[in-house]
Amino acid sequence: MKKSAPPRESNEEIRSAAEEAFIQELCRLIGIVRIHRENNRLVLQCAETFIRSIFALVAEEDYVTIQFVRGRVFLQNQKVAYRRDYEILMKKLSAFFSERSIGGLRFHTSISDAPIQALLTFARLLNEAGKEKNPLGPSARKLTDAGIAWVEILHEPHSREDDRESESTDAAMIARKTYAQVLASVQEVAQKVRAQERAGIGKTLRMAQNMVDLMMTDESMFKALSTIRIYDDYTYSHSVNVAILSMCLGKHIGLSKNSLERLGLCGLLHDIGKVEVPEEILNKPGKLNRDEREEMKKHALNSVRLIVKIKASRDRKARLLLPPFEHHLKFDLTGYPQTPRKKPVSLFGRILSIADVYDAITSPRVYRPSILSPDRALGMMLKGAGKDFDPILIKVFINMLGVYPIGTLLELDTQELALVKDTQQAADRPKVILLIPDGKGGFDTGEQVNLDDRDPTTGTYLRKVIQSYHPSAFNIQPSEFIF
Amino acid sequence: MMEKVEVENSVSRKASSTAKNPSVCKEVMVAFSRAFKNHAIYPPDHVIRRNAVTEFEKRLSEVISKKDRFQVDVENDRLLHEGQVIYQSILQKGDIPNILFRDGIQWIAFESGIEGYEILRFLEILHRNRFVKEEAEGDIVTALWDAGLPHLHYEAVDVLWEAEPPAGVEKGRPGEYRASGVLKEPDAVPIPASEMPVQLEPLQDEENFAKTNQKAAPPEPIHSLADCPDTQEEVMSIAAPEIDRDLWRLTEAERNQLHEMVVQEENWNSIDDVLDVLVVILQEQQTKEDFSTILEFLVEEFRMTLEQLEFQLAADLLDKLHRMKNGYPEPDHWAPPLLDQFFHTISGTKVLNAFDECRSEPASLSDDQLKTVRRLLLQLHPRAVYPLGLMLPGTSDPRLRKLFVEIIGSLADIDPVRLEKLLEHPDDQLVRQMVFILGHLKHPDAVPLLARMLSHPSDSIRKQAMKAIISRGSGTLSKLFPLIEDPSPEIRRKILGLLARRRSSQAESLLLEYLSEGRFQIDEPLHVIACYHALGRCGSFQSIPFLRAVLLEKGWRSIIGLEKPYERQGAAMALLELKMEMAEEILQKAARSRFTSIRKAYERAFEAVR
Repeated sequence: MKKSAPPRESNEEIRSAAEEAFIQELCRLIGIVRIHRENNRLVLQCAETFIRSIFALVAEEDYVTIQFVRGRVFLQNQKVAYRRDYEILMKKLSAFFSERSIGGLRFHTSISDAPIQALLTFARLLNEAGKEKNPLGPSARKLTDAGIAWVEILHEPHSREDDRESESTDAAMIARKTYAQVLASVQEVAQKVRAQERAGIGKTLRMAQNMVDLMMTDESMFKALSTIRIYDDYTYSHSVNVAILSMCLGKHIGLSKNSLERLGLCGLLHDIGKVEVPEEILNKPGKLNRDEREEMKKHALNSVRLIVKIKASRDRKARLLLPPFEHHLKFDLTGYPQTPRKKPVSLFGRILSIADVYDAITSPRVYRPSILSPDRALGMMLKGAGKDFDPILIKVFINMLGVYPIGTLLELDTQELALVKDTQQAADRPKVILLIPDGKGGFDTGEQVNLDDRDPTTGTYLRKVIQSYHPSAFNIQPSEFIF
Repeated sequence: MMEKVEVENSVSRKASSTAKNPSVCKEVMVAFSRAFKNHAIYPPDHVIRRNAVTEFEKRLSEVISKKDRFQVDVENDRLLHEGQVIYQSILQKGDIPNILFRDGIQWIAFESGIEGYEILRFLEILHRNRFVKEEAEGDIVTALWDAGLPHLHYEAVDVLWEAEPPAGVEKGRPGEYRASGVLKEPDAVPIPASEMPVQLEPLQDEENFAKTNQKAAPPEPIHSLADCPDTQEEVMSIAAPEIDRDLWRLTEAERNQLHEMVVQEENWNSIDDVLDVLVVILQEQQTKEDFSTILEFLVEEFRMTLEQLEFQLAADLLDKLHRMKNGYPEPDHWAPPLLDQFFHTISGTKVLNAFDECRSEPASLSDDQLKTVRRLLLQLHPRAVYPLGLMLPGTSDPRLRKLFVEIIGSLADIDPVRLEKLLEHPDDQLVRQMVFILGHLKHPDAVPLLARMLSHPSDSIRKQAMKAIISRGSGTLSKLFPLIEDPSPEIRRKILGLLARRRSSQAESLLLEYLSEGRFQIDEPLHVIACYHALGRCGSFQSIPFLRAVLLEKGWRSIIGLEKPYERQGAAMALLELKMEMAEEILQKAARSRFTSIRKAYERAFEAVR
């Protein structure tokens, strides 16, 4: 099935379309056998289209090879340059095969002689491979048993470098997945509470535990998650971010795992009372009037009541009540709610308060036209040490985030823009990702550099920071570059 | 405690000894299954349950001793070790493989050094999570995580997210920013570099940085989000070179303080703070439903305060709630009845049995604590009488017992219904104590209840009731009189003694009526004589006609031989005790009577009295 050679430009376009079609059909085939029976018309059509998509790619070789390396997709040993629309699809496909320890597949042209049922058997075996302990082995064996010779299962290529990069990609994926799940679990609880249903916190608890595990494995990655902003669901992403920042702070002061779990839950649920604040107040552009402010202030008390209503043991709930109650109380006991209780704010309350304010003032909101860069936010918060915030905890918080926290956008003296990626080594001179303008108003990920690097001959720093910005000033979503 | 499975490890393990000898592993699993089942059936101290756990521990340690680690892979209906089935489930639902698999556990590994408490905790976790509950607080995975058992490892997958991972985080793309909740369409016109919010004007060095950041004076500390400046230039960056890094350097003293804070937090007892917060929250509630929800939680917290012997906190809470209840200006407000209901609930057995711990140990409470307990208990609803009464017999500390008695008395005086219920309790010792308390009540129902107790089957209780009635003074004789026929000679003696204590028209008429009816339940000569004797001691001239008739008349019963000589003797004794002239004359007549039976009656009476 060889094709005549069209003009070069057109050939590339055709090839690119064929690649996308093949990947799309492979995904469809894998997905559709999970839903329909073998004799379903859609399934049969899908199998036929898939075979056609293979032949659209075959040129000199008599096979098509798809490989997954470090989260990237290769066809016929060439990296697939896909459109951004395909990003999620590619990631999912890559993750699907990675979970099965399958490095790739090679489809031979003899597939055209294969019965459609065999193709469907193959697709089912791929799905089932996810349940096996050592997925690759049994699947390969089963292929042989089923008389399927037109496809080969390829091993994942292994090198230390690959492993490291792959691990990093995996970790980023796990981190993002965890964030999404945590977010969803908080939304679920909030929705149930709003609908006056008795909400359980099983999922949220599991998520809080996963967050602790993730933080223990890769704190830097975990911290970076707090740069994610979901603008459609500010309240919930704010809650997740507060939980992340609080847990990091908790870890830095030496809290136990169980306390970190509790702190995480407090962070996730601290604003649950906002489900009862009218949307028009929550999202009001401009400053709130007195009545609206009073209405807004009720959310701390509402959070406590709603936590009481959650379906959980007395002990669990009792340990979650106080910090959400206190999260708007300042270190000097000003703030709200003002009650006859005049005891010092608890440690968790003080931690939540710091994380809450930091995330709030670094989050773009409809009612704030300009937003503070993270380093300026810290500068501002430091001024409140001893009055608004616990003076010791705020110090730990600054040390933890570094003077340029992850996600800070920096303008460098090299006329480059860079995004802070890692602050572990030198707080003043973090590791950054250079951002390359893509000419369409956006940016592409550039080289990762260490601002601590010096010119070996002169000993001067290679790059210096001249200005910091909130990434939103450049329409940048830091998490997209960091992960 | 999530662990990654290393393929190499699992491959190398295949050659191990246990794999060659799966029966050893199967035995462990049989023991595991048995321990699991017995854990569900028997109470903790039951010998069968204990033995099953011990057997499991023993089998497990045998395997672990050979290879340090025993890993079990989990499938829906079976457990595997190194690829070999070592346990096949028959039951499926609720059996070990199924519940582990259900919660996403892929494998469990028991490691060398595992201790008994870890195994017990593990079994407990499995048992507690055996069946899925709606909106459960957690599952086996979360429970194992919380337990943090050092020698038990596992790997779990997120079964809670069976569907696609939630969207949301994936929405954005590099270089694409959504502000104000509005997503910019991918096809939207890109922002030209010239229109970017900030022009990139390269500056040369750090001095310039400082200049840029010194454009405005530093703002005041943040008080609320509303105080957040509108432009970031108003705020100095913490990275500005002129800001001293020492400002956020922790001193040694601060590190120590931090450590203290953490220790305090790790050992935090939530009760005090939670009660505080709940009372604040309660006052803010605007609906009956929310108010009730908070009160329900307060019930649980209140119970916990008692369990933890935090009596001061519990008493303070009740003080506050009483004040709250009395503070509503509107008489028909919905809150006070709900607060009443709260007091009613906390005065029940379920809450007050939290005292069990301290009451069984002698002198477990200090004098100050006892004072607080008194303040606390006095605020309860009279419903508390019942549980407190039930606790009384098992309370070993005499001070606490005395306190309980006082509280029961005080509360029962408000409403004795629960005390009345306790009087029907099968435990005589308990009932006797309640009768004692009843004797001290001022409530009008007390005497009728005591009178009812005069017919209690237990001698000691009747005696106690009688004593209680006697101690209440006048007006009680008629209630006690039925005891004259009490099966207990002692009680009969007491009641007769009471009747004979002094001249009393009430006693006289009661005895006269009793004797003249002549229908004695206890028709014993001694009892009848004692009754006559008592009549003589309490009676007056009004008894003389009756006594004369009994002593001197020869009625139809004597003719047919049914005469009871002891009645005649009793009458003579009564007349002797009356010590009146009229009585003396009758006695003289009896002494001179031509009938032997009358003369003998007189003689015997005379002998007895003398």
